[in-house]
Amino acid sequence: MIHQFIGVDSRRLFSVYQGPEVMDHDGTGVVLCYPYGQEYIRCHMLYVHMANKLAKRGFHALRFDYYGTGDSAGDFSSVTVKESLDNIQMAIDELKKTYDVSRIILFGVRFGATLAVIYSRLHAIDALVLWDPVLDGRFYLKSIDQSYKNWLKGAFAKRKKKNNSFIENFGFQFSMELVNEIRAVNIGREKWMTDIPTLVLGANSEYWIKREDEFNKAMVPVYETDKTIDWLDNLLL
Amino acid sequence: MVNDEIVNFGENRSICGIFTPSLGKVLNDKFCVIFLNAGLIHKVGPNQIYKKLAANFSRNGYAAFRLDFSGLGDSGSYNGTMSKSNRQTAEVGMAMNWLQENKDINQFILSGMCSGAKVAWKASLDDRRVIGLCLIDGVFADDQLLKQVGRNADRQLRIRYYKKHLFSWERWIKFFSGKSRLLSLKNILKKKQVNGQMSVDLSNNLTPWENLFKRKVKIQLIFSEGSIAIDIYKLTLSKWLNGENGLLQTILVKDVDHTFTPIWSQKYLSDLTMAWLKKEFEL
Repeated sequence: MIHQFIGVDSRRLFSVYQGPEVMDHDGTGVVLCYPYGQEYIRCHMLYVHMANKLAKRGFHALRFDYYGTGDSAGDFSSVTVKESLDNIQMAIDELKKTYDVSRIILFGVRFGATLAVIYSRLHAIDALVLWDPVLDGRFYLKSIDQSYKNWLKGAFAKRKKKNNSFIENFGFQFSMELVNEIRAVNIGREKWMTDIPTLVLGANSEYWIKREDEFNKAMVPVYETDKTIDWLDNLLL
Repeated sequence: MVNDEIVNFGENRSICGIFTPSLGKVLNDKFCVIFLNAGLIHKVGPNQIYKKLAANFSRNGYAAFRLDFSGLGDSGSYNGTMSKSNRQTAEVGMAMNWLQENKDINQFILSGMCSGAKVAWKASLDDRRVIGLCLIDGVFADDQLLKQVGRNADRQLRIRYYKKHLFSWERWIKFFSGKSRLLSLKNILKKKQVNGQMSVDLSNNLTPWENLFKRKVKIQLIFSEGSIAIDIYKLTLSKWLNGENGLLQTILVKDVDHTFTPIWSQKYLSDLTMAWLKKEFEL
C-alpha cells in the first residue's frame, strides 16, 4: 500500500495505491471514484475493502480524494465537478505513468459513479462499475436536502441561519457552483448503452442492467465483484 | 493543507497519518495536537472536522497530526495478538515517537471525539509527553460504572430530547398517531427500572484523573447536547472534577448532535478548541 500525494502542491491530491498481489490482470488498473459529502465519509471503508479485494484479485487499485475532499488539499466548499473530473484524469495518468497500467476501469458509488460516467463520455476508458449512480442531479439534490431536513426535525442539532451563498447538507457546504453543476446532471437511460463494458449495481431495479453478453469483455470480474458485495453486505449487517 | 506530510510508521510502515506543520513558524513546532479516530471514521474525522481543526490550528501556529489506527481508514490491518484497546494506546505512543524523532516535538495534546476521546484519555495516563487533552463527547467510566449509570443517563437524554421538541408539531403528530416510542411498553418498563435510587461507586474511576491533575495535564472536555456522554459525565465525574485547580474546562454545546453536523457548530467547535489552546499552551 503506497500513500502519496499526486499533482501540484497547492492542489495536490491524497491517494492510496495498491499493487496487484497476483498477476491475473496485469496491466489493468481500477480508479476508485468517491462520492461527495456525507456519502464520502460513509463509503470510505467500502472503498478500502474494494481496493484490497481488487489488489488480491490482481488489479492495480488507486483510491484518491478529489481536491477539497478527504486528505487532499482544499476545503469541501471549493469542490467543483469540473475539477473532480480533472482529478480523475490525474489519477489515471498516475496509474499509467508510474505503474505502467494500460487498461483503465472506473469504479464509483453514488455521485462517484456519476463522475465516472461523465468522465467516460469525454475520454476513452475500458470499463465502468457503477454502484447506485446519481442519474438526475435535481432529484439527487432534492432528496439529500429532504433527508437532511427530516433528520434535523428529529435531531438535537439546529441550523442557525440560512446562507444563500451555499447549501448545507449533513455537515458539508456545497457551493452554488457545485450545486449548479450537479443540477445539470441528467443521464438518460439510453446513454448507458455504450460500447464500454458496464456493470451497474443498485437498489433500484430500474437501473439494474444485466449485460450478460458483455461479461466476458468486461475488465471487472463481475462474479468477484458480486462476491465482494455479498461480503460487504455481511460485514454491514 | 499545502504543507501536509504523509507519515507512515509501525510494522511494515502500514500505519498512516497526516502531519500538518504550523504555518509561518520560525522555530520548530513546540506542541502537536494528535487527533484519534472517532469510531470507524477515518482520519478526516466526522464531517471532516479533524481536517478543519488541524488547518485552523496550523494557521494559528500549532502543528497537528491526524492518525488512522491500524485496521481503520488508510492504515493497513493488524495481525498481532494485542487487544484493540492496548494496540490503539500503543499506536498513539508510536505516533508520538515518530514526531519526536522526526519533528523534534516533545509535548503533545491528544484529541478525539467519542471513542477517540476515550483512547486519548487512556493513552495519556502513562505517557508524560502528553500535556493536554481536548476530549469531545468522551465517556470516561469503566464497565462497572457504566452499568450503574447507563439507564439513568439514557433517561436523562430522553427527557432532554422531549423537552427540546415539546413545541414541535411533527413530534406531536407522531405521538398522537401512535408512532412515538415514548409510550412503548419497553420504555415504561425501562423507566420503572431506573426509578430506584442508585449509589455510584467512583473509587476506581477517579484515581486516573487525580494522577493527570498531579501531572498538571490541562484538559478541555466538550460535550454536545445530543450525546449521552454529558449525562454519564454529570452522573459520575462532574461534581468531583469541576473546578479542579483550573486545569479542567468543561463545555456543553447546545443545539448540536454528537458529530457536530451543522456548519455553524463546526466553526464554533474550531473556535472553542483554538481559544483553549491559545490560553493554555503559549507558543
